[in-house]
Amino acid sequence: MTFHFRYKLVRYPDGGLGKVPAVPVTLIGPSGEFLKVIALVDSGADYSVISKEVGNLLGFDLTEGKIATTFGIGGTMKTLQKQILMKFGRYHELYSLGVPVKILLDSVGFEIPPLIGRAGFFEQFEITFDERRERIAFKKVPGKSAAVRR
Amino acid sequence: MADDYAVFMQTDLSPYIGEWVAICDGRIVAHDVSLKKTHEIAASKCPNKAPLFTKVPSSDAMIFSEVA
Repeated sequence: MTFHFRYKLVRYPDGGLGKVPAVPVTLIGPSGEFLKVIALVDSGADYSVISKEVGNLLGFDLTEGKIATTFGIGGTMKTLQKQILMKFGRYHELYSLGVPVKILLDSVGFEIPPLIGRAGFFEQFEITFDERRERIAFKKVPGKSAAVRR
Repeated sequence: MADDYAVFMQTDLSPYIGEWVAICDGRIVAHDVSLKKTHEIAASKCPNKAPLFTKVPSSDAMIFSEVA
């Protein structure tokens, strides 16, 4: 089955309008702390990214793990890679996905929303950014064991 | 979450640029620049429920790649 989310109309600080692929997802930390959030689906991101503030709330130990230098449009910054559980889907089609996530340790001058990047996520679905219909479509790829249909 | 997601989709969140917003039972119940504070307020207003949180960006989203 294929499920869709319509693009979200957003108004930027400069007054401009945009439409973004924003989807609801439940992020679950190592001890079961969870947060239902809106995340941006970002095909240009190698990894999913959350801010330090989100990482703290989910109960991640930010003093332990491999620190990497990560590059974004905002410049380079230190990140910590962890494994996160995402519950994602729509209606009767809900999947649990174990996904690597980069936690931003540096401030980038502004708080970013959670981003869903490619690693661990995009191989689970056929994902179509449908600009004409202003929606994003997800079709589960069969045989990927990391995802569990609930 | 379905109702809260519908509210997210239908609401102009531009008054909250730079803030976290919590939606519960189909309405905005908390907003603040701090996620922790937004979470605390939402938990007090919506006990035993799971609000939907969204960050209203103050800048365009970033693209991330790991430096080799």
